[in-house]
Parts: sequence; structure tokens; C-alpha cells
Amino acid sequence: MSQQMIAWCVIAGVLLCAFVLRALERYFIDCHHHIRFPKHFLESGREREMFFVPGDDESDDFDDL
Amino acid sequence: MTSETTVLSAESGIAGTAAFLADYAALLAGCGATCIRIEKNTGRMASAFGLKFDIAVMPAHVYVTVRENDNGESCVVVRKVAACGISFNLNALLSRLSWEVADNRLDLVSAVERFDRIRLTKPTGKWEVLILTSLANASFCRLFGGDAYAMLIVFFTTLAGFRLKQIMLEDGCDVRLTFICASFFSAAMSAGGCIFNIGATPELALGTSVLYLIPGVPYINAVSDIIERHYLCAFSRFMDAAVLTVCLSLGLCAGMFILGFKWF
Repeated sequence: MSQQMIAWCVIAGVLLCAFVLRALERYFIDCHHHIRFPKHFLESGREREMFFVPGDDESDDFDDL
Repeated sequence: MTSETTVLSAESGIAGTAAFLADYAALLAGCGATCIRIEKNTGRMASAFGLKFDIAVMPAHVYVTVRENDNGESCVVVRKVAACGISFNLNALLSRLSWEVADNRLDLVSAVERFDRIRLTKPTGKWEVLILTSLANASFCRLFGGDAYAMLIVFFTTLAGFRLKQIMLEDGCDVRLTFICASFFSAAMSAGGCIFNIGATPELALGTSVLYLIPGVPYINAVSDIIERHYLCAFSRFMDAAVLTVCLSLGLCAGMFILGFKWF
């Protein structure tokens, strides 16, 4: 790999990093603005949250026992 | 000035008319109109309102003088040129408003209401501008004789450089630094065509990759202003454009220097 190629790859990497950092910054700002419903790539929750139907008894928490 | 203040001032006779005309001229100057366009449009509306009118367009301010024919009462209003960025859409809407005032004899209050609506016009979406600019620059490459590979390189390097420009300007970076960075990265990325031997005309991709940064509108407006003898505005616009051109040249040269290309 010549010096030119290395320099080109470094410059491309810096630019890519700038775009990725910007995207992450935007993502976290969006999360901050939606504190009630934060967006997460991965999260854990109770089973009833997935199968909750409006009208169900909200105190029914036996799934977690 | 907010829309409420404009409406309030619209009710106060000659002073309101002068304030409206000055606001109008300041916005028209800000969205990239030439001095002669500003003079004609505001003069047209002043005539429709039955007033004598004079305007001085300076690089950063407009001075509007309005006089009544009979008793000679006059009013001078100074407004700072609006920092709204070049917008052909806004320019066209404001020109249409001046013709509506002249042809349909709109009264001042209606004109101010329409003006306030125009002022709220949203600029073109940044993603649309990004894609269209990249396509336009790729077309430039084709005009200069670039092949499909060169056009593809120019499209993607313009996409990257223009997005960087948008990000830096959104973050409040200096416009000159922004131009240097955008041209540097666009030039360096497009030099990949030469480094990796992509296509038959990689040097054209390198040369045309920074053309989207050329400030064409200020250059054209400067020539128009010189023809109409608005030398101060012409010089100001020309110097602004020249500084930006020097900045994009610096970025291009830096990119070529770092990647080891010969300048000549």
C-alpha cells in the first residue's frame, strides 16, 4: 500500500468518524428530548409490556413472579 | 422586526409605509437580489401607494426615504439586511408581491399581511438540497467531459463535502473555515479516483469535485451591480465571493498537497 493510499484512507476515516459522531450526537439529543420514551437499541422489559392490551388489569403482575 | 411590529407600524401612515418598504428591501437584499431589483420592486410599490420614494442600498443596510407629494412630510427608515441566505423562492415571492401591490392596488395592511406570510416561508429541505447539489455537480463533471466513473466519484464526494458544510454551518462554524474543510475533504476524497485508477478521467473528478462551493450568485450580482453603478455593493459582494473562492482553493491545494499530487 503506497503512502498516497494510506493518506487517502486516513482522510476518509476522519470524515467517516465525523459523520458517525454527528449521527450519534443527534441520536442522543433525540433520546434526551424523548425522556418518557427513550429509544434504545437493546432493552429489557416485562413480558406483559409486550402483550398488554388496552383494558387489561394493570395491577396484574404475576408474570414477573 | 417581528410581524406584530410591522402590522402596528402599517397603521401609522407614512412611517408605517416606510417601515414596510424598508423591511421588504432588507429581506429582498438578504435573499440574494441585485440592487437594481431592490430599487425597482420597492419603487413600484411606493408609486402604487402614491408616495415619492428613494432608497440607498448598502452592503449591510438599506436606507429608505418616503415623501408625501403635497405637504412634503418625509420619513427615513434604516434596516439591517436580513441574514436569511440566498433563496430564489423568497426572491420570486417578494417580486410577485410587488406586482400584486402595483397591479391589484393592494392597501398597505394587506401588503404587510402578505409580506409577513412570505417571511415565514420555509427554506428548501436540507436533504433535497444535498441530493440536488450532488447531482448538479456530477452533471458539471459530465459537461467537462468526465466519464460515468468520474461522475459517480463527484456525486459521492460532493455528497460528503456538502453534508460536512451543512453540519459545520449548523454548528455555527465560521463560513471560511467551513469552505476550507468542505473543499479539502471533497478534493481528497475525489483524488481516490487517481490513486486507485478508477475510470478514464479521474483528474476531471478531482477538478470538478469542489465546483459546488463556487459562490456564483454573489459574483453574478456583483457584475450586475457594477453595470448599474452600485459600486459599494458590487465591491462588497465581489470581495465576499473572492474570499470564499480563496478558501475553497486553499482546501483543494491542501488536499492535493497532502496526497502528493502536483499542482501544475
